[in-house]
Amino acid sequence: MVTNMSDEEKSRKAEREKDKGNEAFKANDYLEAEVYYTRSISIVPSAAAYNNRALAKLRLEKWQDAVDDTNVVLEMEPGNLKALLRRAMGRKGLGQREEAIADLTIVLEQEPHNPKAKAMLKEVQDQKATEKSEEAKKSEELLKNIQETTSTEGSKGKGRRMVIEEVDGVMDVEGGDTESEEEADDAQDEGNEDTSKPAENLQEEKKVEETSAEAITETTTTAAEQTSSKEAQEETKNPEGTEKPSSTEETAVTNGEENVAPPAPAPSPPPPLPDGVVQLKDAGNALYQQGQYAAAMKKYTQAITDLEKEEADHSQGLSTLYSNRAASKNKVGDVKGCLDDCDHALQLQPHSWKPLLRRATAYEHLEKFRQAYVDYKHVLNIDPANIQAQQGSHRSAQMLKDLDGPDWRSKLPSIPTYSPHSANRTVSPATPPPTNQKPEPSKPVANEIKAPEAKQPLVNGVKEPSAQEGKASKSNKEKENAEKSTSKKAESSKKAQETKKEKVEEKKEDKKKTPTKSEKKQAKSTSPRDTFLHFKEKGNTLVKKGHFGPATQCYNKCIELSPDQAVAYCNRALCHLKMTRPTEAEADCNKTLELDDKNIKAYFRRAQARKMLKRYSEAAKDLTELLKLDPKNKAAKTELDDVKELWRKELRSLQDGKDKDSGKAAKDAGKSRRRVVVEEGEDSDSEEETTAEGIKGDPMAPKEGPKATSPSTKRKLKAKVEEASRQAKSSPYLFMTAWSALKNSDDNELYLGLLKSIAPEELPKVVSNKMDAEMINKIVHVLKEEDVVNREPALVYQYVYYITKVNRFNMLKTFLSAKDKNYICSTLNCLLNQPCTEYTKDDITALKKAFVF
Amino acid sequence: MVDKPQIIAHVEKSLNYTLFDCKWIPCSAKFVVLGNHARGTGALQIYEVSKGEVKLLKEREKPKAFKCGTFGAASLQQRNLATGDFDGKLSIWDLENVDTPVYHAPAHKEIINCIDGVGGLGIGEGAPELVTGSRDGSVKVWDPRQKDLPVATMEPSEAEARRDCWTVAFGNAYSPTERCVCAGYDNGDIKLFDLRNMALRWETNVKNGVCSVEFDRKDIDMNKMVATTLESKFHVFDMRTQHPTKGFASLSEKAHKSTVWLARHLPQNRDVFMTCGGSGTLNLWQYSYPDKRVKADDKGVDMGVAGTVSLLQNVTLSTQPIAGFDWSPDKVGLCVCTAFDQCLRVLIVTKLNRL
Repeated sequence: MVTNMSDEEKSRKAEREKDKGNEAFKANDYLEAEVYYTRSISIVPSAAAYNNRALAKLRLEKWQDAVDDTNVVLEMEPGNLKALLRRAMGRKGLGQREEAIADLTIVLEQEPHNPKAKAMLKEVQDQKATEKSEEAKKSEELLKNIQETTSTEGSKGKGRRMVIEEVDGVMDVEGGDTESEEEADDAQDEGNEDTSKPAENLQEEKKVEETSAEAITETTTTAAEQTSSKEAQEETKNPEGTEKPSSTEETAVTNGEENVAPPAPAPSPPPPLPDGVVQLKDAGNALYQQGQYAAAMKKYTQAITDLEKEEADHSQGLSTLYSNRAASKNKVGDVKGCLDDCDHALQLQPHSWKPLLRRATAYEHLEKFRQAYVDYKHVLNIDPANIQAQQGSHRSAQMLKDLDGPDWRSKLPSIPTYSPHSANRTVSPATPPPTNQKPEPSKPVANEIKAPEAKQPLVNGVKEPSAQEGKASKSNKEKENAEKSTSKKAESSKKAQETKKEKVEEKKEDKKKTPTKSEKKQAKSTSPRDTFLHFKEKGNTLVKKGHFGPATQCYNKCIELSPDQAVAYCNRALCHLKMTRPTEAEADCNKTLELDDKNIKAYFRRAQARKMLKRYSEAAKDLTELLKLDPKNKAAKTELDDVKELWRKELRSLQDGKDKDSGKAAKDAGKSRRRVVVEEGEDSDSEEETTAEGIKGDPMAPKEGPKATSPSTKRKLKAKVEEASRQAKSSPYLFMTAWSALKNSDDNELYLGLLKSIAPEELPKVVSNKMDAEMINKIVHVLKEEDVVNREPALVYQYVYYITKVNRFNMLKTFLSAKDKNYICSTLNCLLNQPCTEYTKDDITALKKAFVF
Repeated sequence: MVDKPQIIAHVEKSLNYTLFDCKWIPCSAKFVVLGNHARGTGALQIYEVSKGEVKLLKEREKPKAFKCGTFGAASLQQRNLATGDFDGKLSIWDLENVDTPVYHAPAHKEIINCIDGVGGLGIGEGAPELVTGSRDGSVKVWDPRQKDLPVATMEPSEAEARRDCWTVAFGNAYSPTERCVCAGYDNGDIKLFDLRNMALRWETNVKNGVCSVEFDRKDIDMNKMVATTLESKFHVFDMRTQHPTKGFASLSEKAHKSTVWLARHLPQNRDVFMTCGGSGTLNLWQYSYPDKRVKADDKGVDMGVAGTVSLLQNVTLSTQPIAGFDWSPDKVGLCVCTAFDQCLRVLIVTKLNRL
């Protein structure tokens, strides 16, 4: 499009794109502005467009890009002050102080009083000064920092990263004002700068101190994926403490959680550990935190030997110690030792995720990706939310794909690795694996774990399980087994927790049984009422997700807790319905109605259940009952129609033979299920919303749509008419649309329904001036054909009478043909034959006259 | 007070026919006036602004009265004028040779009320296209390169009542494939048609007949749109964020104390627009964006936030409705307007670059 334009057109177009960019910029839409500037540049490269794009990029904090753009401008127009100023800003953003100062000096040479340049120069110099003075102080600190455990390093690193972002934010605002194209108010501008300066200076310092660290933090998100396991291995092999911050940082990235975990001090585990051991362990943790892994390892070893001498069963404590020692060994680079320790820990406490994770990392370091993958997967089975495991499994899967090609899964050693654990579990069912880690939860751990959960519930809850399902379907039955066993274990852990002392909250699995587990815990800590509510909520969420089975269990718990709450029964009934267990559903509904005989939902659900059971008469009864309570319930009405129709069909087919019926009923049952959506969606009750959304996930639902047969289209039309008739009173327009919508159908019944929706005396108002001869004919025709004349002569009289009262009737009747008039008269004559007191013969004659003359 | 833009009537000229529309010829100091002679024929005149007065350069009388015109689909070299007339005919005229149209099509059964163009004059990506709206209730999109047949027709189905379409506008033409048409109807309906998907993207009803709709820019990702109505109100829609149920966020503002006939955005600043009133008044408005243009509703779905408008200037030029208005695409603040008092006026709006 650009190619065949003349130069003038091109420059015009480029100018226009630039203007669009300026407008977008003024509207603070920098991204859009950048797009238009780029377009302008692609048509005709101009210094102004580059310069403006640089500004937009500054606002977007794309420092390097901005600097690049200003460089282009300065090539084109070497003395461009704006460009220089912007480049200084960009360089400041990049932390290139010296260059920034150089730029600013040039600006000030040209324009000694440029306030923005002055302010910025001062700022940059201040930063530099403070930086120097603090450098000395910091260097000491830095050394210490490096010595510190990676755990603190890691968490601090995170905190700092946020700080740095804030700094950028401040600069951005300020930079924007300083540089603003529209000659922003200078005074205000400087005010801004002043306020932001102190904080900024300080933080700028930190930023420079950590330039290397920053580089890493920037990549933190991707770091895990990017660091090939080989690199990671090398890094971990480095003895601790000596390496530069970046490498510790990196290991922190790869090992993140596990590094954090061990140093944490342990609250005493259930069977109290001997004091000596606890002391040793705490000392070990402390040392680990300081980064003295070798010393920590020694402490742990001592603790282990001490503990092994003890008579009592300390498998849990031992496992923890092994696990911690594994972490230390990993740090020191003793991968083999780490593996051994992990194995030990897992023997003592199968399915504890920390040793598993550590072993996985160790395997990864050894490039045994298959084992690593299996372990990561195992961790994910225990805790699908574990980010490290997610990333790890992804990473190793990638490696395996590269190594083994598309069918890498077939080469997985998953079978042997999994089975011993599941076997083990049955041996020691009373030990819940995650509790194993309980003794040593530390705040950082909790934070680290919770944050991702909160942030990506979708990933954890939905994506992950589905991915696993996909794998399971790949005939990986072991995995299924493992899953089953995890849930089994989850149950066992539940039991364990009931007996054991209250423990710190563990991560919840988004697996089927787990919610009940964590609930159980809460059940203990909160009042029964709260627990009840909690379970209900849980159940509702599960229903929302379409997990009806587990939801049922939640509701079971609710019922256990307070058997006199109708809601729980009612909701359980819904679950049963969803799982096509109508008998149970009906029983639950019965129970609900016993407790609360006005529960509309229960009636509705019982009706559905009964419909499924093909007990249509009872279903109809329920629905009528419902409609008595809530006459406006649309869903119930349609459902009632449906049920009646089915009932009729059944009766008919009873005569014909029963074969067809079953198929149809089944289909209709499906249909009815879909119908619920409409009803449930309308109620604002949270519980109801649940259902609505739950059904959305129902893959059955959409399939039923297209199958709708002609009676159902008729029904749809009917529904439309019904709706129109309900609204017709309020809006003549709706009435008219409904009326014209019927034009193509010859169904007088529908016309009549619509007509009857408005009272005769409303007719002139509703139809107003839209009445035409055709409509009059139709009305009279319908009234006669549908035999209303004989049944409700008074009504017919009324309608006809009010037709004459319609606007411009006198004009209208001139459009009526003689035949039409005759027809109307004959209809009116019919009325005369009816015994009715509403009108007299004279009235009819008057009416006839009104039409004829 | 002094910094406010002023609207100055530069030239006023009384004519002997009813004026419906006026359009600047791009890259020139000339403009076209379209209208209706007393005997029902169409008037097409070309004027030039020179030395403080307007000079009639060319004049033609055509068999049917012209209602509307646009240069929106014309190339910068040719600058052909597309017109819609009372007979429902769409014609394109070469202004150098106005005797026969270079393109004509029997577009509608009844009067063409409104016309808009895109893809010409360097405004809008993609093919040059015209859109016409008519009393027959249909909105048709035309490609001047395709004879007789519209490239798209939007009309109510058989069963639905046909509403008089009073105004159409192109928008969203920021890429060769994207394009939208917005149409306003006499019953207050506003419909937004997505030409890429050939679907109704959004519709609303503003309760009163919609006299004019215009996007602030045709050639950007839909930003905002102004719709003016019969009962002295106009609405500004933020078209950036469409909520699945609530549609676009909007604000409405009272103006003119009579029908608001037109809204026209300043070509050099999309946030400034002029509205023309039934009482012969012109109002100049500026739109200010809210702090955050997008917010999440209680379910976390993004929805737009409307900004505010402020009245910059208000002048009364005539006692009759001002039905035609056009900003000069080249000179900031230069504009021409026509009113039903059979006068055309060249106006200058000052200090627009200070906004």
